[in-house]
Amino acid sequence: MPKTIQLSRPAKPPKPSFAQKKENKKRQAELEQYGLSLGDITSSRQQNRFFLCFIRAVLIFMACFGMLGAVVSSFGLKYSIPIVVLGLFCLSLLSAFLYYNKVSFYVGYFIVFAGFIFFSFRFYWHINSGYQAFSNEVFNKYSDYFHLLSTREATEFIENRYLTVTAAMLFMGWFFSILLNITISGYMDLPMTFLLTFLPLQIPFYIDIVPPIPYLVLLIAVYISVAILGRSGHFALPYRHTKSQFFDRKRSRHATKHTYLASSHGMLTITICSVIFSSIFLVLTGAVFSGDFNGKYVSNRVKDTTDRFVKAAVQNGIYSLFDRYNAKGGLARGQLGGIGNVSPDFETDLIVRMVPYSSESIYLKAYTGVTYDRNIFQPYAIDSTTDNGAIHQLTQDDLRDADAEGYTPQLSIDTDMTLSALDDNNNYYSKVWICNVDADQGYDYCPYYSFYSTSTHKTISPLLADKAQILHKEALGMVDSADTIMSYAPGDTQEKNVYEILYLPYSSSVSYAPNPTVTREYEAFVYNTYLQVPDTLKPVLETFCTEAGLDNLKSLYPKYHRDATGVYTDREFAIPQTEEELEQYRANQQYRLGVAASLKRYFATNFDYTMTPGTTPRDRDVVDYFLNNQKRGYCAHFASSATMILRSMGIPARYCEGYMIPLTAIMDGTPISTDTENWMLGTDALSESGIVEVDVPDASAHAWIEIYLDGYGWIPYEMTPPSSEETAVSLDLYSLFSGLMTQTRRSASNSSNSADSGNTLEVADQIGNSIFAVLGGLKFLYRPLLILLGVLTLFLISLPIAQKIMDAFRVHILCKKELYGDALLYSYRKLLQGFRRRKQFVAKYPTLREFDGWLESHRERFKDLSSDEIRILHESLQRAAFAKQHFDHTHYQCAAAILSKLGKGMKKEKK
Amino acid sequence: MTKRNLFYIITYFLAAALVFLGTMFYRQPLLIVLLLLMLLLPVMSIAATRYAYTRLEITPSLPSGTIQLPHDLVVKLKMKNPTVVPLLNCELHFHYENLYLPNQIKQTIVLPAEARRENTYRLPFKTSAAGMFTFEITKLYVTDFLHFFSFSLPYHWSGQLPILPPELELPEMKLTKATIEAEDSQPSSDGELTNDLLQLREYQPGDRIKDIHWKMTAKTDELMVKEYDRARDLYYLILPELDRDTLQDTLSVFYSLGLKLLKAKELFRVALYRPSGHTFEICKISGEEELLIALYELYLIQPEIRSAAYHRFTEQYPDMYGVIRIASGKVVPPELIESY
Repeated sequence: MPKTIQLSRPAKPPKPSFAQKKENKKRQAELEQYGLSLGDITSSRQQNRFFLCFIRAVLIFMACFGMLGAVVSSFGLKYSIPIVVLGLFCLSLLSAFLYYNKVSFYVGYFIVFAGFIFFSFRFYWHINSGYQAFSNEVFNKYSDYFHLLSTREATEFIENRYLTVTAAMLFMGWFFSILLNITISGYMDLPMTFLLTFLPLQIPFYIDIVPPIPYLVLLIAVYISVAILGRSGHFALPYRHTKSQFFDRKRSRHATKHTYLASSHGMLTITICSVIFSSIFLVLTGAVFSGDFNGKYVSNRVKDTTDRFVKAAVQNGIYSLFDRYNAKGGLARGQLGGIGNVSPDFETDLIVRMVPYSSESIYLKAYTGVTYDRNIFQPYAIDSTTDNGAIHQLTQDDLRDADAEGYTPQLSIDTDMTLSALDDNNNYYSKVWICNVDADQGYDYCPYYSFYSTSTHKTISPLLADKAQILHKEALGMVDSADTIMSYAPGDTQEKNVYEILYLPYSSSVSYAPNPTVTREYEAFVYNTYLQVPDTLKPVLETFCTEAGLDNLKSLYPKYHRDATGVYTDREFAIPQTEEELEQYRANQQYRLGVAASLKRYFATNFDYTMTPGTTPRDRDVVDYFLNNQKRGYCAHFASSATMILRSMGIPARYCEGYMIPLTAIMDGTPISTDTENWMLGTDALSESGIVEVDVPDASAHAWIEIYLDGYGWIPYEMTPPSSEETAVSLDLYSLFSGLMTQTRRSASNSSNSADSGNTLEVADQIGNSIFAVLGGLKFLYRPLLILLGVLTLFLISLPIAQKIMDAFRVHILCKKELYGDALLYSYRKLLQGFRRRKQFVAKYPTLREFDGWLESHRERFKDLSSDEIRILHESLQRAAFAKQHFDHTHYQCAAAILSKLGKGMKKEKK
Repeated sequence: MTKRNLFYIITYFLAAALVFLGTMFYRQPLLIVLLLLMLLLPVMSIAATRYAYTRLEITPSLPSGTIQLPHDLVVKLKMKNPTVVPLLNCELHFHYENLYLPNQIKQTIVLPAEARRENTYRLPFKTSAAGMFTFEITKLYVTDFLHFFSFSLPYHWSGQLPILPPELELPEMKLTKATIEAEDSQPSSDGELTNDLLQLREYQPGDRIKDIHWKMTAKTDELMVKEYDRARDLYYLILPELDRDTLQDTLSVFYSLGLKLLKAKELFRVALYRPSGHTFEICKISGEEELLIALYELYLIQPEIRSAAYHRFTEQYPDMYGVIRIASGKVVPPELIESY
C-alpha cells in the first residue's frame, strides 16, 4: 500500500485570545463544579459576512446621502446625483467593509484616511468653493428669514457650483461615512446616528424649509432600522467578537445570557420593511407638508431668544455663543474680556441728521471709563486725596460736573487752530439730531465739544448748559421745538429717545493751542483721577513698555513736567504765560502724542485686529492677557490696554465708548435738505452738501481713548489698528477644516465693520490662535475637574469599605429573612475569597474536607481555634448547605463566631 | 405574563416628548409627521409581534440513546417562523444540570426567528461527571421590535439523558455470593430466592410485624404469623454506597463490576438504598438493560456526604451476609463471609 506523504503542514489551531482564555477558564471551572459546561452555541445557518457588511453599507449610505442630500437640496443647490450616489455608496461600502475582518480593519482605516487626505488636497479649492457656495446660500436664506440688512458673500474660487457642490458633498460624505460607520456598524446606536444626521437638518428646519421627501424617507428608514437592530443586538459581525463565533455570552453570578450575534436575513428584512414603511407613511402624510401650518405661527420667548443667538451665530460664527455677557453689537459699558466675538446684527441703532463738517470720522461718545478694576472700566473715580487720605468714590455726576467746571471734557473751547475761538465772538456752531432706535437707552450720544442737549439725560452737565446760555446764545436759537424734533423720527416715537445737540465742529490737529479756560484745580483733579493703574498691572505694563520700546521715548520726556502740585499754583488757569512755558507746553504735548503714536504703531505691527478674539480666561486680567498672550482683539482691547499703558507712562488717559460714523457712511447718507440755516452757523466747505441722514448700525459701536493734554484738555485718540489683509490659505489639512468653518467676508458687512478700524476690514481666519484662547477660557474648569478627580479617588479608596458594608448588609438581610443557612454560606464564601485573594488558599471550590485539611495544616496560625470548633463549623456548614430547614439562629451565631475567628487568623497572617 | 421594559418605554416616550417640544418650537409639519410616526410605531410593533409569535414553532431535542463519558452531548433547538415578520428577540430561559451536581445558574438564550426560515441551533455540552443530564426550557419570551413588551408564551419542555460512567478495568478479585433473605420473592427451581411458607403459628415476642398474617388474625382473633423456609447463599448482591466525595468513582466501579459479572454470565442483585426513607430496593440484574435501569435509579438518588447504606442494610437485613459493598470508589469484598 503506497504511503501517503503529507506535503502541507497541518493547520495550527488559532491562538486563543485573552477573552477566549478567560472564557475557557470559566468553562473549566463550571465543568468541575457542575460536571457540565456549555460550549460555543452554533447555528445551522452560517452568516454571510460579506452580506452583513453590505447591508450595513446600505444603511450608512442611506443615512449619509439622506442627510447631505436633504440639507443641500433644501437650499436649492444643484449637484450631480449619479456621481454623489455612486461616490457615497462606494465610500459607505469602503467604510462598512472595514469591519470585514481584522486585516481590513487595521489596514482599511489607514487607506480610508489616506484617501480622505489625498482627496481633500487634490480637490481643495473645489471643496472649499462648494462649501462657500453652500454657506452663501445658507446666509442668504437666513438673511431673508431674519430680514438682515447686511449681505455677505464668501469667495467662491471656482464658480461652477454644480461641480463644487458635488465635490463638497463627496468630501462631507466621506467624513460622515466614517463617523456613521462607527455609530451604525460598530454600535448600531440610534441616538448618535440621529444626532449626526438630524442636527444638520436643523439648518433648513430653523427657517421653515422642509427638505425633499425622498431624502427624509431614507433618513426615517435608517432611524427605524437602527433602532430595531440596535435593540435586538443581532448586528455584530461574528469575527469581531472575542468570545464566540455566533453568540455573545454575558455572565453574571447567577445567570448567563447568550445573544445571537448577527442575523443578516433579519437585517435585510428590517431594512426593506423600514424603507417600505417610511415611504408609504411619508407619502400618505404628504398632505400635511402642503398645509400652511406656519401661517398660525405665534412667536414664543424661547424661539425669540434662540433667534437672537442664531442670528449672532449666522453672522459671526458659533464662537459668539460662548460670550459671558451680551455679545451683540453696541456698548459694552466698560466690560472687557467676556466677549469672545463681536457679533453685531447690522441693524440701525441710531439715526443721525447733521451737516457734514469734517473729512474725519465722527465720534458720538456715550460712556467714559475712568477707573479700571477687575476687567471693567467703571464710570466712577476713586478720589484718594481730597478726603484726608480716605478713599471715596466720585460718581458719574461728580465727574461730569468736574469736567464742566474744568470746562474741558465735552467742550474744548477756543483752542483748535482750525476752529474759531469759542468765545462771545464765536460764530461757528453746528447741530445734530439723533434718534435712538436700538442703542443703549441709558446714554446720550454726543459729538465732541457738545455744549447743549435737549435730551432729558444729563449727559451734558447742567453747569455747561448754563454757561452755554451765556456764551452761545445765538447757537441756542438753532434748537427746534420738541414737536419738530419728534416729527423727524420715523415710526412710533414713543419708544425712541429723540434729541438735538449743539456742538462745536471739531477736527484733530497736529498741535493744540493752549486753552485759557482750563483751570489749575481741574488739572489737579485729572492727575489725581486719570493716572490710576491697578498695582497688579504695574509690572505687566512696565515690561510691556520696555519690550515695545516706549521707554526710549522717555528721552523726549520734557524736563519740565507739570503736575498737580508743581506749577501754576499761583494762578487760576493752567495756561502757559511765558515763552518758556509755552515751549514746555508744546514739548509736553509732543511727547504725549508721540508716545500715543508709537504705541499705535506698535499695536499695528505686533497685534492683530479681529472681531473673534475669544474670551479672556476668568481669572486673568484682560489687559495682561491681551498684551502678553492674546495679542489680538477688537477696539475695546486696544483702547483699554492703551489707556493703562499711557497712564503707566504718566499720561492721563481714559477709555471711551460710543459710536463712530465713518466718512463713507456720511457721504452715503440720505440727503434731507440743502437748507442748513437752522443746522449750522458759520461756513464750511462740506456744509454745502446740506443736511444728511445717516443710519448708524450697531456695528459702528466703538471704543477709543482720550488723552489729556496739559493746558488744553481731552482729545479723542484712535488706538485700534486696521485689520491685516486676509492671510493666504495654506494647503494643509488643518487650514482646510478651518477654511471650511470660517468665511471670507466682504461687501456690506465689511463696510459696517470698517467703522471699527477706519479701514475696509477683512477678517482673517485665525482659528489656530482661537483654539488656545478657547483652551485658556476653559481654565475655569480646572477646579471642578480636580474636585471630580478627588471624589473619584475617594470613591476608589472607599470601595473595599463599601464592599464590606454591603456584605454585612446582605448577611443582615438574609438573617432578617431567617435564611440563616444562606447567611452562613455567604459569609463562608467571602472568607474563602479573602483567603484566596491573599494567596493563602489556592482552590477555588474547596470541599469541606479539603478546607478542614488545610486548617489542620495551618494550626499554628489558628491557635485560637480548637478542634471542636472546627468540627462544629464543619457540621454547621454541612447543615447550612444540605439541611437549611434545621439550621437556626443559634447555629448561625455559633458558626459565625468561629468564622470571625478564622477571619482574624487570616489578618494575622497578613501582618 | 407580559414583561414591561419600562426603561425603553420611558426613553421612547421621552424622545417623543422631545419631538413634541421640537414641534412646538419649530412649528414644522415634518416634526408632526415624525411625532405621528413615533406614536404609530409601538402599535405596529406590538401587532406584528403578536401576529408572528402565535405561529412560532420551537422544537428542542436531546441525543438518542445513552452518552458515556468522556463523550460530549449536543442539544438541538429547531426554530421555525412561517410568517413574513421576523421575530428578532425570542428569549428562551433554560436550565441544565446533572442531578448529582445541582446548577443554580439561570441560562437565557436570545435568538432571532428569521422570517419564513427554519434554523437549528446546537448547544454543545461537555460532561465530566456521570449522572442524569436534564435540560429544561422553562420560559419563552418574545420581545416586540421596540422592546417595550416581552410576551411570555406558554411553553415548557424538559428532557433527561443519562450519562454513563466510564468503564474501568477492575482488578481480579474473589467475590463470594451472598446469603440473601429476600422478601416476597417467588419460589423457583433454578436457584432463585425462595419464599416457601413453612407454617402459620401464633405470635411470639420478637416476631416481625410484616410477617403477621392479617387475614388469619382477623378470622381467629389471635395474632398469627407466617414462618418461612428462607433460602440462603445464592447470589451476588452489590450494595453501592453513594458518598458525595467519591460518587463518580463509586458509579464507575459499580457499572464496571456489573458489566464484568454480566460478561461472566453471572446473575446478581443490586441493593439500592434511598436515604430519604431509609429503604432498600433490591433489583435483579440479568442483562445490560437491567443494569442500566439500576444505574438510572441510582442517578435519581441524592448521595449523602457519608453514606449510611451499609449501616442501614445491616440493620434491616441482619441475616444477610456476603454483600459486595462498593464504598469510596472501591469494591469491598465480603471478607467475613466464611464466618457466617
